[in-house]
Parts: sequence; structure tokens; C-alpha cells
Amino acid sequence: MSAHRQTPAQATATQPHRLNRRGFLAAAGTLAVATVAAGCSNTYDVASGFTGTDSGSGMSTLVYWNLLSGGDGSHMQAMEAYYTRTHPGVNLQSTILSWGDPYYTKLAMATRAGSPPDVAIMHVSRINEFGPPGLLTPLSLDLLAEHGMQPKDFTPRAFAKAHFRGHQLAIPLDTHPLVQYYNTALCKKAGLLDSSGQLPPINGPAALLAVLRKLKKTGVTPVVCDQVNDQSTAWRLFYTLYSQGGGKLVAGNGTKVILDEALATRVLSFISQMAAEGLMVSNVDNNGGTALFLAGDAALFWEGEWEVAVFQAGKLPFSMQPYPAVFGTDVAWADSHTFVIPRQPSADPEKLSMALTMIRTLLGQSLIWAEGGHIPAWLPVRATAAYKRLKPQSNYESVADRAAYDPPAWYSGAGSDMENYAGAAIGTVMTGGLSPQAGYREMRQAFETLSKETVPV
Amino acid sequence: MTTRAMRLPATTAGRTTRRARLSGGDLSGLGFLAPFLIFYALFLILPLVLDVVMSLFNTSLVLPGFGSFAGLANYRELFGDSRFWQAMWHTILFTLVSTPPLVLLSLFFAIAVNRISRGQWFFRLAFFLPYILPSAVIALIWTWLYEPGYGLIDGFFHLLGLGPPGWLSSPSLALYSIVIVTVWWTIGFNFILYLAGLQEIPREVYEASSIDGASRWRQTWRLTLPMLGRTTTLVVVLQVIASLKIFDQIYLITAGGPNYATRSAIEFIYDTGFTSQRVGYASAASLVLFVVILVVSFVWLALVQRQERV
Amino acid sequence: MTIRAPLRRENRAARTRPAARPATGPARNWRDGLFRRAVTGVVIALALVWLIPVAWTLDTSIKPENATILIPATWGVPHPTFAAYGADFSATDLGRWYLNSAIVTIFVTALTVITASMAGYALSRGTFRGKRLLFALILAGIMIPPQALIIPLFRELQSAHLINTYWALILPQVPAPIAVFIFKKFFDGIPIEMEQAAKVDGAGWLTTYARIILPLARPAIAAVAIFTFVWTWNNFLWPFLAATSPTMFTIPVGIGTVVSGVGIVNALQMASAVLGALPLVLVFLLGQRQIVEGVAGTGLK
Repeated sequence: MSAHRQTPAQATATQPHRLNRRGFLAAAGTLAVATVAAGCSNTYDVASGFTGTDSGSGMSTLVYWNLLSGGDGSHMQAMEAYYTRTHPGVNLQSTILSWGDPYYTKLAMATRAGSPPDVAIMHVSRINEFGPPGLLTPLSLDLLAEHGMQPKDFTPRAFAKAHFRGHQLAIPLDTHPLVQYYNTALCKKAGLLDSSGQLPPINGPAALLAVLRKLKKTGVTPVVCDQVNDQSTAWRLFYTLYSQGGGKLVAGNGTKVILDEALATRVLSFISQMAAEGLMVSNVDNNGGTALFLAGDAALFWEGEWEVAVFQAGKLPFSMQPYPAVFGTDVAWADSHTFVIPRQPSADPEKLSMALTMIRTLLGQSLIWAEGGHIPAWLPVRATAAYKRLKPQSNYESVADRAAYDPPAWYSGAGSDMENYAGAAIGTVMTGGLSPQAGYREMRQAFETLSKETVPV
Repeated sequence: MTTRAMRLPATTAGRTTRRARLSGGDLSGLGFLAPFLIFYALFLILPLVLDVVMSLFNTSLVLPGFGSFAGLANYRELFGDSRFWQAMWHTILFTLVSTPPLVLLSLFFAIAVNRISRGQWFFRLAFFLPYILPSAVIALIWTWLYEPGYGLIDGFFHLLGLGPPGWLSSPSLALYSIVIVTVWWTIGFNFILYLAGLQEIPREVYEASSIDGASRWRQTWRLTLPMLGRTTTLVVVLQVIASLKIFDQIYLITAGGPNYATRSAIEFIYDTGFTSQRVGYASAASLVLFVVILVVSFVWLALVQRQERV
Repeated sequence: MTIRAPLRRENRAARTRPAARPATGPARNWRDGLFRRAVTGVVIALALVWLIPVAWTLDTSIKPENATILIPATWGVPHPTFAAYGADFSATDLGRWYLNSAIVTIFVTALTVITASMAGYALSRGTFRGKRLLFALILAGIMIPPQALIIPLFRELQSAHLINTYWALILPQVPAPIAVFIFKKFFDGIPIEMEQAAKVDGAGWLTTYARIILPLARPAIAAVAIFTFVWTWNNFLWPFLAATSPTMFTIPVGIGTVVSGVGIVNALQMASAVLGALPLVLVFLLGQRQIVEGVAGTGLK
């Protein structure tokens, strides 16, 4: 061994540091032994990881994915617990993945790779993306009926949206729209509440501006609507107002852009005006917006209805109502969580039946789900007095029947590119960084680019 | 799989018999090389070839086969795609901003720590421990540190009476926040390289200059730094190449946001290939990035060759 | 190519022990001493700053959740609890991820060391035609960034129906041209006499390699193994793509993808950060010097 070729490692080896190397080898050895032990003890099915035959779905195992990481997640877990208690023969493996594109990318990739979950949550707005390549198992109405579910049991609008090119691809769980939260104490101070202590519905842009200005005079932030880090809320605000004006965005599954310039610019100008007058605070992220309203620093909060539990837990004096009818009608952006059965590598009727039974069980627990803020799609619960008694959740119940779902395009839906790019433009208008006209151009540009992309499905 | 294996016999087919250094046949030499070559061919060469091929087609992640032939259409679209160039720019900006502190700070640490006689383990622990943490852990730690309101950094700013900026929420600031994370995370690697380089410098050189009356500062400036020239080249080039390939911390901390302000080139490739499912287009982008990295590597090779000759 | 200065060669012979640090004699004058103390002070301060993120993570992980949302953030836990750690294990497949990481990393390390050392040996001792060309080809591979290959690699493994198996996680991570280079350089430095003696005795390639070369190659093996181990364990991008179901995730992927809890989960997330880092940190604490030397030695990777 020639001296001039020694590496530092060699230099070390010849010095009395064997303790450290022994330590390292010992650690690695322990790791190896532990691995073998775990594999042999059948705690984990290691062999299947090599053969790829088993994606964790043995006969009595049901693999369930969802993306409910927010406050409503605990409600889903409560519903899952009910299912597990009443069906002790089934091992429900539930995994929560991060909301948005990561979830859908993973779901699509897993389905294509042949190892999808047995049942998963999917936003109905994503149906134009998952439907065409056949990633979802079509559900015949007979099969649904066998498991206690019929079309008439669901919110019609949601059930129809889950129907795609002649097949029922999803079973709706809820509808969740953009709503208006209002701090009853602050609104009372501004003299805005009616005799029953509620905020009367606001109609038209002038009325909304008047309310906001009145609130500003009392020294609070009139309304907070977040757009930092997550462009969804910005998109929902714009889309609500735009849909209220009757506007349409795309045609031909997204390949054609039919954005109405006049209406869009009017909406953006209105948003811009609120920002310019200091009536709307939007340079916060999701947590920040919630925190602001929770702390009683903002009188109004525009967000999806799922934050209700946070404010109830915080003992905040507040209520909720449908989003104001600013531009004509009172539709609001909404999406629906649905249950889907991803396409399985091989047909397994028993597993499918198990999955449908689970879905039916969870639907029966929709009251728990409604406590989390969502409007149940399962009519047998939605029609009950118990749900109507849930305040303030049932205040906006009717919005489910006039929900404005995301435009039907393969690139749209919850957490999609469309929401991100368009939302970015809108968000910048919200902070005053872009003029309404510039914001419109950016948004149009985003849609044009998306519409020209080769449809991958 | 058979392509590579079949090529090997061809190269040895026409060989003339030479006196082997070790008798035992040349084929067994090849036999030793074969396992590696198989892996190499399958998982480095073949993908590269596929990259080139798929970039000429409209390959989709969903559908089997290569899809319709596109010729250079993908490249043409790529060169006009502002989102791609933004991603490239973010990557380059990241490289430009992160390399100086990662190189200079680690150098300073190494020189300073090298002088300290006792307790070097403490500094090794402090600076190198982050390096062995996985990126997912780094993301958790720093997202929490940067958390608006509750985070430690915001708390520190409150203490100073300053209004904290939107670390991860401001499009203009987010990338720099990621730079800070990266410096904290990976400086240990350069630190170790520099320490090793410093310890190669023999005492006699310093002793001689001490006798001559040189001050510590002079010694550092005139002796240490020049002798670390080779190590510095290594550190800089490794750093630059690593920065060009950046993905993990950006994807995990900001997901490329806000408003795609931090999306790196690799993340663009990932988004295009796996989320938008446009494999052919993503392959074209991969090759462009690969060429950039290749150029940097060649520059490095040239630099090292020159230093070798000195 | 070596990363050492040519100067080193002469001085290796000249000095009797490895250089430790510059002469630490008394300062030449008061300014020198001040300078030295200032530098030492600064680096100590920065080292402490460097430890803050980890300390804060540990601090948060043992707080009850509602103690994590105080404004401004405060150190210290009046009622520390390890509840978050337990919750992390039960809420996610953490145990399974540990196992997956262990399996993948051990296999990759073993395969890398074996194939690369054999290849390095073959390139060092072999005389087959095309050796130069093959070596150059392998060297060129050092410049191929694996990140640029994720798309075709995924396609390859998808066609072979191997996605979401251990094979998909292990195999693409095995070829490491840099390891071949390191081994070849190392073997080049071993005088050939011993092997020639063995050949005379009739030993074949495999015997020579196993009996004589491998024991001598321990330092290089250690260096390559350590670096491969650390790098493979922490690898995120490829396992993120290759494992599509949570039961096949490795630790980094699991922690980075699966949501461990709903609501306020700061302590839970910090606990999962600690648990995710734990295996390598333990290995690091036990074999600090080995790891550092291994990383420095394979610096080129």
C-alpha cells in the first residue's frame, strides 16, 4: 500500500478509533437484525413488497384515502370510527394525504400503477380529469340500490355532477360552498343586525360596499379574505361573483375559452375597489385569515364553511349565511366531496361491495359530517329536523341546490392548475398589485395557455 | 435489457492476445464488470436514451407507447414557455444566491474551528448534524420556524419590535427564505470538505512563516487560502451542480409557490410529467436542464485538469 | 483525478504525523490575540445559532398542542408530554416506513458496494479490450443527474409492472459511477504482487478478489457504504415517485406526504420530524467520525 494514496478514511482506520467504527457497524447491524425480525414476525408483510401482488388489500382490509386534513378531518375520523365499531370484521386502513395537486397526482399515479386504494375521496370538480381516462369504476344504479343508495337520496345537483358521459362515477357526500361568516357582536355594534339578531341578506354591489364601509367606521377590519400561499379562496371569490353574473368560462372540456371580458373585468374592478378602499384585508394566508376572524379583529370572513368548528371552539359570537347576491343571482362557488372507487387492476365484487357498504354507512352518519360545516348530500339526513337545528350550519343549506361548480374542463377542479394560475392573478388584484384590466389579461392568458395544452387524457 | 449485454462480447471479439497482468483470462475481468454495467445500462443510460426519444413524441403518462410523433415541436413550445424559463430562472437565481454563503461561510467556519484545540466535536455536531437530516424533516422544522405568528422567527421579530415579513408568503421573499433553509441544512458538507483540506496543510508551513514573523491574519490570507484552492474549486462546483438540481426543500416547503414564485426546474419537470401527464414535453425540459448541468460539469473538468497540471 | 494538492505528496514523507492545525503558540501581539478571540467567539455563537432549529423542534414536540400556539412563541414547557410521539405512531404507518427505509437502504448499499467494487477491480486489473472506453463511459455517467431521468425511469418501471414494489425503490439507486471511480483509484494503489502470487498458486479472479483484495479494501468500502447509506436513506424524489401506496413509503416520503393529524398538529408534526430523523442521527452519534470521513472521502459524489 503506497503511502501517497491514503484516503482520509484509511488514515482514520489506522488510528485507534475502532470504537467509532465498531459503533457504526453495531448500529447498522442492529438495524439489519431488526429488519429481519420484523419481517419474520409477520408484523409487516415484507414479501408482498417484493412481489407487488398485495397493495395492502387482503380480503378483510379496506384501503381508504382522503385529503381531509382540515378541521373537518376529525369529523371524518369520527365517522370512520363508527364504521369500524359496527363492522368489526373489516380492517379500515385510512390515510390522509396533503390537500390539492399532490393528492390527485398520487391518486392518479397509484391507479395507473395498479395499486390504487379501494375507495377514495375526490372532489367532484375533478371528474373531468379522472373520468375520460377511465380511472374510476362506473357504478351501476342497480348496484347502488343493492347497497341502499338511490339517486333520489342525494342532492340532485351534486349527484348529476358526479355523472359523467353516461356513467355514475362518484357518490356525493356533501356540498361545500363559499359562505359569509359574520361576527354578531361586531355587526351589532355597527348597527347592521336585524331584530332577530341576524345579518339580513345583502343584495347588490352598492349594498355590500355600504355594509363594509359602515363596519370600517367602527374601527374593525370589515372583511378578511385570504389569498396568500393558497390561491383557492381568491379563485372562489372571483368565480362566485362571476357566476352570479351568469358568466361562463370554457367549452369543449376546456379546449375553448369563452371568458366574458366585460363581466370579468367588472368583477375584478369590484374586488379591486374593496381592496383599494381598505375594506378587505387579504395579505394573509389561510391560517392567518382564520386567526384574524377568531380573534375578533374582522367582522366578516369569506371562506368555505369548513372553519365553523374552529370558531365554535373559540366561543366566538358569530353566525354564517350564504354569500351575498352581489351580481344578480345568489349562486356561490361550491364543490362536493364524493366517494369514488378507483379502477382496480382486477375486478373484485366482494371488495366493491365492502366499499359500497362503507360508503353507505358513512352517509348515514352525515349529521356528524354536517357539524363540520358541510351541507350533507345525503337527503335523508339533510331533510331531518336534527340537521335543521344545527346552527349556524344549516343557515346556508339552500346553496347546495344552486352551487356553481368549477367550469367543466380537464384542467380544472380543486387544487388544479386552473385554480392556481387564475387564482394567482386574482389574488394579486386583491392586494392591489394588479389593475383589474391587467388581472383580467393575466387570467385570460392562463386560460388560453391551459386550453391549448395537449389533452393528456 | 439485452441491448447492453450483447454489446460487450462485440468489443472483445476481435482482441489480440496480450500478456495479461494477471493470467486468468480477460473474460473474467469483464465478468466482474458486468453486474455494474447492467445496472448502469438499465438505469442510467437507457433512461437517458428514452429521455431523448420521448422528447420527440407526444408521450402521455396515461397512455401506453410513445404517442404521436412531434419532432421538435416540444422544444419549440418549451422555448416559448414562460413558465419553464421562470422555473429555470428561479433555479439559477437560487444557485447564484446560495453558493457564496455556502462556500464562504463554511470556509470561515472551517478555518476558525481548525484553530480550536478542544471540542471540535461540538462544532462538527452543530454544523454537520443538519446535513444528515432528510429533506422532509427539514421542511417540517422550517415551515414551523417560519410559521406566521406562532413561529420562532416571527417571535424573534416581535421581540425586536419589528413587523415580520411574509417569509413564505411573499413572492419576492420566499426564494430567499428557502436559501436560508438550504444554507443551514447543507453547510456541514462543505465545512467537512474544508476541514479535511485544511488538515492536509502541514504544520511546517505555518511554523516557518511564524518564525518569519507573519501574523495570524497574514498566514490565513497568504498561506491557507491559496492552499485550499483545489478544495474550493471542488466545493464550488459541487455546490453549483447540487443547486441546479434542487427540488426537495422547495416542493416540501412552498410547493413552488407562492404563485409559482419558487418553482425550480426539476419541479417544473415533475409538474409537467406527473401532474399534467405530458411525459414527452417533460422529457424535453429534462434534457435542456441536463445540458446546462453538463456544461457546468465540463467547466469543472477543465478547471480541475488545469489545476492538476500546476 | 485526485483531490489532494501535489504539495501533499512530498510533505507526507516529510512529516511524521498528520498535520493537526497551525502552530497554536502565543499570539504575536495583542491585536492577533484579539482577532483570534473574536473569530472564536463568532464561530461559537454561530454554532449555537445553528443548533436553535433542532432545539426548537424538540421543545415543540414535548408541548401539549395548545401550548404551541402562543403568540409570541415561547420556549419552555411547564407540562412536557410525549403524547405527540405516541400519536404519530398510531396515526401513521411510521413503523412500516422505518422498515421500508431499512430494507431499501440496506439493499442499495450492499448492491452498490458489491457491484462498484467488482467493477473498480475489473477496471483496475483487467486487460480486456475496450477497457479504456468503458471506463470513460462510466466516468461520463458521473455527470448525469438522476433528477433529469425521473420521467423515463418511471416509464421503464411502469412498463415492467414494478412500480410500488421494493424493486422499483432499490434498483435504480444502485448504479453509482462515482463509487466505481473511487474503488478503481483505490485498487490502483494496491501493489499487484500479492495477487500475482495468488495467481501462481492457481487462484481465480473471484478467490483473489474475496480473499486478498476485499480485506484490504475496507476503508474504501466503509467510505462508499457510509455515503451511500446516508444518501439513500434520505433520498426523497425517487421514492416519492416509485412508491404509490402509503405502505410502501420510505421515511422521508411518508413524513413529507401523509398528514399525521387534523386540527392543530404542531407538536405532532415536530414529533414526526424527530422520529423521522432519529435513525440516522443515532447512527451518526455512534459513528460520527466514520461518517464525516466517509463523506469527505467521497467528496466528489
